[in-house]
Amino acid sequence: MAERNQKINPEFFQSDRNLRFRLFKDKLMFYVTGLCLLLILVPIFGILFEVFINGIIGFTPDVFTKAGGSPLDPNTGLLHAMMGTFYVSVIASFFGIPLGIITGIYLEYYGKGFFSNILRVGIDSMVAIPTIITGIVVFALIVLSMGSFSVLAGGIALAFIMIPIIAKTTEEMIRLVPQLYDEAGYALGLSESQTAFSIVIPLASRGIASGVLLAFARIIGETAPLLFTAFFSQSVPNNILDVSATLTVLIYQYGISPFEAWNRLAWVAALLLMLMNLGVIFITRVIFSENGVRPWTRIAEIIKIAFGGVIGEESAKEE
Amino acid sequence: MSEIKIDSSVFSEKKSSNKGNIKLQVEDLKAFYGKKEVLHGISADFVENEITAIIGPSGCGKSTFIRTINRLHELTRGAKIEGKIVLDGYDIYDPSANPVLVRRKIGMVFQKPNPFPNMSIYNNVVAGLKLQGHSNGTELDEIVNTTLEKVGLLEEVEEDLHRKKGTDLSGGQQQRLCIARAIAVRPDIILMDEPTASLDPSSTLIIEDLMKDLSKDFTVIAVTHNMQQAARVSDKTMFLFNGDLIEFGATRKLFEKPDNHLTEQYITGRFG
Ligand SMILES: Nc1ncnc2c1ncn2[C@@H]1O[C@H](COP(=O)(O)OP(=O)(O)OP(=O)(O)O)[C@@H](O)[C@H]1O
Ligand SMILES: [Mg+2]
Repeated sequence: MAERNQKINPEFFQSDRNLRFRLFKDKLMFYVTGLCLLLILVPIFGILFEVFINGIIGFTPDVFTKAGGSPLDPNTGLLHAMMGTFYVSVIASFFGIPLGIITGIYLEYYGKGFFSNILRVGIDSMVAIPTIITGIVVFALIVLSMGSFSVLAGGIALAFIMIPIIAKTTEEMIRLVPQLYDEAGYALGLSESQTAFSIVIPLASRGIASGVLLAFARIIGETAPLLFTAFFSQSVPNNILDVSATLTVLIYQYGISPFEAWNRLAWVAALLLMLMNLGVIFITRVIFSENGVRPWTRIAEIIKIAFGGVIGEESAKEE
Repeated sequence: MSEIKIDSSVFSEKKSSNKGNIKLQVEDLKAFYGKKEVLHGISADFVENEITAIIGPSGCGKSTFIRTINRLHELTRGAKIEGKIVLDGYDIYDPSANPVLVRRKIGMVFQKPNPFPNMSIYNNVVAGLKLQGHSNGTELDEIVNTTLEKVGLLEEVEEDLHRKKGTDLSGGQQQRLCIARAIAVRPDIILMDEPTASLDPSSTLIIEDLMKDLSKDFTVIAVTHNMQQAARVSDKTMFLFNGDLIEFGATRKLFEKPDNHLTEQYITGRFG
């Protein structure tokens, strides 16, 4: 451009035209993709907005203090479902987190033989199994043999959903630790297990922890497996063998009911669930993102992931 | 194998009284990746407190060779060796030898500085010792001090020992930290695989001086791509070509009057 007054080689001119065309294509693509983004963002914000507004409208302090009851009783709340969700997620974490991590470590370090290959195929298919099937299996194995629905059965069903997710992320995150750290450990005269547990796994711990949190975010939104296991009730569960409502099942039960009071509570439950999910994802991002990342970049990422979580599991898988 | 003794004054104790002792003998060493043989029967003796430089074109087997010396080679899947490597009279590949203990005697510094990113500078230096079970705080403090002093890093990082991570340092400092980490466990031999390949010229000179200094206490075997470096720092030079040992001898002789035609061609830059 600066050399205007000099002679122009026709070939250069040719390429200049090409360049202009490419710049034009570049701009065009920018607007097309921007438009697509907008098309996606509008319904996402629509969903969030709808849940938020309806949830706020239905909100009363009773929500946190009162259990369920008759749809005609104006003084009912969500305490029973909140406690149910709390119980099932604690139980699921209690079994799912350690078993998932141990399985992941096992697969990465010892996953070579026939048994490990079977385990790996099993884990892969567990990720793909529709969660309603997990629910019905736990129903057959635990609910039927114990003779009643329980939050314990619900927690176990959710643990089965957590384990493959955590196992796979753990395996992957350990594998991502560069070989040079393994070698540094061995070269210092450390054994294989010392190198694994003192050097490599700690280096993978952030990744493992974010896998755990994403698995957690995933299970607090599960409904289908809980329908067969924790089932539903209007009172606060007294212990882990009690049948209990959970937020997701309550949304389903109250949402399809003809009673306006219950519909209102379903919206509040939806809002609570959404906030919990966003909270978990927020924690994952803030605590476990790399040092030195600008807060804004973080928040943008959080929003991206959160929306991904609302729409589908695509972004969860990418993580 | 005996415990590694912790003695901070040990750095100058070995001195050159034992110059001339053969520390390490390699006998007809063959190395394989699967069925592929990449070292074809190498024999060489390494003298205590000398620096040996290993040179040769890319892919000739330099890294493979030094990784057989501390038994890192066998960690690659399908990799194995034939032949003998004898350290102080003991075959390190004897079925009764424990590779973990062998590696405590033979430390290694890698091409890319690899301090542990989740450990402070202090913990990087004593990582090996701590994980091997040494927990005496004052002893560890002393080792950190003498070791960092030895690699010329103490003044630069004294204030940040606990505050900074090993990876917060510059590349050259990181490499010196890795050297400190390797010598803190008091090995007999230090292997280096192109230790300056990823460093700038001034860091390279610092490491080269350090290598000479280290040879007072350790037997040093270093791979280098840089012929000037080999000439500057080493007592002996080994020239490998396509998995064969072509020539091995006093550095000066090898560079000034090589016996082998290939060696001459290589050091005059006609190939590689
Ligand atoms: N993991 C491996 N699997 C199979 N072959 C390998 C492996 N690592 C190295 N080789 C082969 O072994 C030979 C020697 O490799 P080596 O890394 O020892 O060479 P080098 O002399 O260190 O080369 P450079 O100077 O590039 O580092 C090469 O032919 C290489 O292709
Ligand atoms: Mg190499």
